[in-house]
Amino acid sequence: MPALNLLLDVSIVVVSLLMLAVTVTTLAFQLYKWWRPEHNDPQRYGSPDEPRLPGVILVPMRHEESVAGHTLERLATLDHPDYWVMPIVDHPDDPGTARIAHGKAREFPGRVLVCPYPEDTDVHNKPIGLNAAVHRLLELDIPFEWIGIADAEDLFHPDLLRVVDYRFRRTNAGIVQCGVQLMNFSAHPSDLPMPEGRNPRLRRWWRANTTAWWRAANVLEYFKWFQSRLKLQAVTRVMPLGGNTVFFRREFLDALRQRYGQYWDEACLTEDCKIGIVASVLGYAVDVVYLPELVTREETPATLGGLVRQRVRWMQGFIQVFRAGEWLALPTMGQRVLAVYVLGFQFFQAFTGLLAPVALTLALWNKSPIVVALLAFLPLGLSILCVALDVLMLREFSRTFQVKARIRDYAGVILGAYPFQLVLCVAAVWAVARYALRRNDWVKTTHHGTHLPAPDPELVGGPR
Amino acid sequence: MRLAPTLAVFLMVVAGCASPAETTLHPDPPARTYAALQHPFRGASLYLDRDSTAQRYETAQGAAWLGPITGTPQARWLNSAQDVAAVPRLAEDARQQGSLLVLVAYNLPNRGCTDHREGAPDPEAYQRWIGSLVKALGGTRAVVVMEPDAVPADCFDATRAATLRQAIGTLVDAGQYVYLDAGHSHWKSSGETAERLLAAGIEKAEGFAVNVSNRQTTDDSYRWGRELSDLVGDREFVIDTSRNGLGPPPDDPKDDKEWCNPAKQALGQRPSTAGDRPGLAALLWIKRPGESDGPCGGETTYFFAPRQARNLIVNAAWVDAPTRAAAGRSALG
Amino acid sequence: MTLANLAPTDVRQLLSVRRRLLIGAQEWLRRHAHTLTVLAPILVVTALVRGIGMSTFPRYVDDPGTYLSQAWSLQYEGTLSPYSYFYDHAPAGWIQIALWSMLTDGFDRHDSAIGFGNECMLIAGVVSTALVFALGRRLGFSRWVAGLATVLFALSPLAVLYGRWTFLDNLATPWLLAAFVLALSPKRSILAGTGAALCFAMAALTKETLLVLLPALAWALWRNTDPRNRAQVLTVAAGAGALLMALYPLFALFKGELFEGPGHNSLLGTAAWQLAERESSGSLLTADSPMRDLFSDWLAQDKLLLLGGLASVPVAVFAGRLRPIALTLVIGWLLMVRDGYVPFMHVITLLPWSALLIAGAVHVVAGSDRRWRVGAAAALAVVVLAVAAITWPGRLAPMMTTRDVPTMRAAELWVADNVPRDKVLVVHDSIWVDLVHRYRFEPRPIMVSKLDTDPAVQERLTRIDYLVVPEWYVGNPSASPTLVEAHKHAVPVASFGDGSDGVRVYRVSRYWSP
Repeated sequence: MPALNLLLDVSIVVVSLLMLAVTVTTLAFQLYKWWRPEHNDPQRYGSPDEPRLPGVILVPMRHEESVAGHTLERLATLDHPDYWVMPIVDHPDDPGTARIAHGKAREFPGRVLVCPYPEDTDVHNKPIGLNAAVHRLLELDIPFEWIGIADAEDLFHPDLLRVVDYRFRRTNAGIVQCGVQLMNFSAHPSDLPMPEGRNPRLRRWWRANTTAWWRAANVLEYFKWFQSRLKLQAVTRVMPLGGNTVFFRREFLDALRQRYGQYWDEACLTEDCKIGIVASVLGYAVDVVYLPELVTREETPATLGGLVRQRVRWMQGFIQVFRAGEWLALPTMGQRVLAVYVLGFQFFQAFTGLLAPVALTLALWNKSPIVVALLAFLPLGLSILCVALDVLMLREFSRTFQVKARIRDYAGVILGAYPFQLVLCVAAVWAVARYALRRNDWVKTTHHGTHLPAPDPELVGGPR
Repeated sequence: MRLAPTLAVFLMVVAGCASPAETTLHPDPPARTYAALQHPFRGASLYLDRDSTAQRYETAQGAAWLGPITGTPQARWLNSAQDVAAVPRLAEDARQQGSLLVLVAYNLPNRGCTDHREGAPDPEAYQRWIGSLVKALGGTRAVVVMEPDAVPADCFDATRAATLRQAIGTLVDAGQYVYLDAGHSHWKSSGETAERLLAAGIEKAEGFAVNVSNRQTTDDSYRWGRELSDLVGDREFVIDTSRNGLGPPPDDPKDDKEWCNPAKQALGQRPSTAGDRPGLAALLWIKRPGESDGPCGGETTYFFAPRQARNLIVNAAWVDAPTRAAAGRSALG
Repeated sequence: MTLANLAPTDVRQLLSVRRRLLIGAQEWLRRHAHTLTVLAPILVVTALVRGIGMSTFPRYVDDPGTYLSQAWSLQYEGTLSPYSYFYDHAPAGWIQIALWSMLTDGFDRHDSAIGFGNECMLIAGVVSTALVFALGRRLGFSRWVAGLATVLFALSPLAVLYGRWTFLDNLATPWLLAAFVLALSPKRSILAGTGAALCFAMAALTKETLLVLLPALAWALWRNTDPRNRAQVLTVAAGAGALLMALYPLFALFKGELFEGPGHNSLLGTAAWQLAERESSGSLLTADSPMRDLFSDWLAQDKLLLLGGLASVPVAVFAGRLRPIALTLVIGWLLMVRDGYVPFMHVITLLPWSALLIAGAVHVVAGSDRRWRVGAAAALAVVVLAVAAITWPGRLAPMMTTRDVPTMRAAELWVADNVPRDKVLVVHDSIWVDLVHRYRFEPRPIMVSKLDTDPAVQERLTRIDYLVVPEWYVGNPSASPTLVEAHKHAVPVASFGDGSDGVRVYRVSRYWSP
């Protein structure tokens, strides 16, 4: 039927143009660090002087026995003269972690201070804990100029606080976001913990080789986000934040509270994203710092299911932020458009990756005019370019962090590119479904500690 | 993109650098104007000349089988000043019979392209000869087939074209009907022939002649003549059918003796002035059947040769069987 | 939000768009005032010298007509060629012409398609001239040295002559120059690198033979990139360029015409023919080769630019930035030595680089600010300009003053006045569009270049009434057997000019059929 064919052609053109816009912007965003040589200058952050601003690091913890002790120890010994570490634990719910936290508080008096998670609520999420911690700080009248957030498994670099302190003063930013980097891309079995049960070596080998494709993609995502994407967003002042290793100036938190009545939005799944948008609304700049030696090293989710759940939570959070409409208060039209793009990006990217070959196949199958087919090819072509850049990125990653990337890892990046898009799509669809069904509880990511330099047998427990 | 054009373009540039291009908006040649056609053959009967070598042979030898030749009107060839002497009598005869006399002017300087002694010694002499022909014809209007082979021959040049143009003018102005010989369908292309005919003044002549002294079939000659006629202002043409009954002899490049007095040949269609096909003025016997093509095929002269006449008759489809049998049996003297 | 919080860029955002544009334009003018005082007069003179007389000089040749017919076909029929497209060239060149025509109604504005093509070439020529200047500046030349390069390129009789013909090379030149300008961008950004690659891809899509210059561009880009982002710049640039270039083979692939097969044209088939089977033009080093003849013809137009450029190649030894430019020129010369097919407009590819290298020699001699070196450089520049001033005007004058209508144009006008519109014409490519578009001949005239090469034309051919082609065509049986055959049955009815350049209109006998 000619009318149907025409309709199909028109849809292919529209979809292709949208996909083209998404892939081109994706490329532009992820390459921001290399746009110009100066963007990648080793000296671009300056050299930190003596730290001057007192601060607090908040560490929300829940069922983190395996890593809590190690993390708190590290956080308590950072190179800064005047800061507190405040683990937030739910005593009745999680006595194990609470015990460790109190132990460390005794071990590091004047440095570590435990904050109990509010017991008047059944809901467990990060914003409630963070808000409670700030109230606790005010109660105790602890002086602070900034508040940092660490996750239970985050091992901050000893020099991190000096840089943050310096950047706050130098840039006058309301927020300093420091780099977070997933590390365990490798397909090498010895990089994984030995599983329990029969034939552990064989199972470990199997697991290493069958999960490497999405691990590498996941690792590179972080590598791209924190080096490039967030920076460009900071420059354009439309800024969803990363969830941790992020530092807020007190002035900004006060402004936040003045305007919204609370610091972190307790009903939002991705409070980090929302707070970033709000910072832009309030006119506070965000400074993004990615220094390879200072990044907070994290691990990929233990299983592919974990990754999907994490993404579902993020995407659902983005939907919430979008619906909340805070971004409408952004000062310029350009920023509002960009905000929509940034919030929708996860979805756009997922579907673009998925649809690119479909559009081309449809165009050819429909015998569309060749111009249409060529247009439909462009997003696919750019996706191929993205994969090439990922390969380059993996090489860069392995050089930066001096970890060996093997041929099979590169193969994983190449062969895993399309399936990874599929996974993102599944997550996107799931997120939309959950949002529609109003299921807003936390789909938590689990950690198994493979990012730690030398796995401590006591800490390694596998997925819980 | 294409080799040849590009090379040629490069040659053009080279040429262009040598001398500045002379270009003009005015076409050359200017548009031609053709004289109105007279259609001399329409309704005309052809003059039958009884004073011929064949007739004398028939009479002398009692060779009645020569009837198909001697009884058919043919053109009279004028190859020299002497030949013109006979013209007044022919003109007078024709006028009295009310029939149309067909002459062949064959006296152009260097007419065979090989020997300057053939034909008139020079263009002036030729024009004088034409003048004498006009005078000899007097008030009789005859068809003049001009100069067989002169146009298609390799030695055709501007001088020859001018000579022909002037001669045509003289004859046409005197009221004669000129058909300029154009060669035949397997010699020069119609395009090249047309250019030559135009150069030689065809626009003033009544038309052109095809297949003179040759043996191309009538159909092929007509096809070629028609093509040519379109290129020269729809001039009409005559076809020489005297000897084309069997068509051309086999075209064997190694053996062109076949073209000269070939063993297998036949009289063609009888002359006709019906003009029943567009562009065709008449079918004529211009070459006189029985006259030798030259010293070849057993002959030694250009004159009437009974053996050639017999061959032509024996193979002619339209001649009745007894005559053909008689010809075949004839003892040649 | 307080004003103190705003970065300077935000202050500007508060102004109206118009005001911002105005301020931007003023700033731009202020920054480029010196450049404009040097460049603007050169561009004006270039436009005048190249534009005046372009309708009467030079004569009509084949290729412009072919490309213009293809542009016309794209605009009015939505196909890449009025005949079946056989991948003789990548189509970007005439797509650009067609776009310009669609925007400006080009084929209706001019009384001949060639005239419209001349306009396109004039624009391309002026843009190329400006880009030569820009490239000179990016190579580190002072404004005056860059101006010297620009003048040499813009006004060489060779450049003016070949720059007037509607050749794909003339359209590819701006893209190629822009590619180098971007490749040498001082920002060394991904965007500049990508732009360079895309421009190069456009150049190659306009005239695919320019692909041989890829090493020179890659070298220039490599040299100019910074180690801090080199890998990314090169990857993205290569990817983007390859993607744009890939559209051409993909087009063929989607049409099922990439690979050779019975009954259809194919990109690879044509490419194989062009690379392998095409008759060689011989080597420049062989006496009496067509290449040598062609070369001496070029030299007859202008020795200064060609030989001066070649002589200046060694200066690249002293100036690193000039090396990729020198390589570009060297590749161009090697193609002429190699004993393969060299198209007659190949010289176009040599000109900008020759001009830049001559100016580069002046630049290198000037070197530091030492007075004697500057003096020597000035003297060299004066000598170059003096040679140009002595040898060029005599060549340029006829190009600008010839008033005679080109023979093919005269023939075209005669045909329009004298030939009934329903006749079947076989015509030279250069007048095809006019006869179809302006004079509405129906059935459409047949382009002589397609008469024997396009099976579809042969299939439909039942009669031919007129031939309108230059004389050398009919005398060359290899050009087109059918044409030669038709000519045997035709008689000239009008002729214009004489010699091989002469054009005759032949009427073919009605009673002959091909």
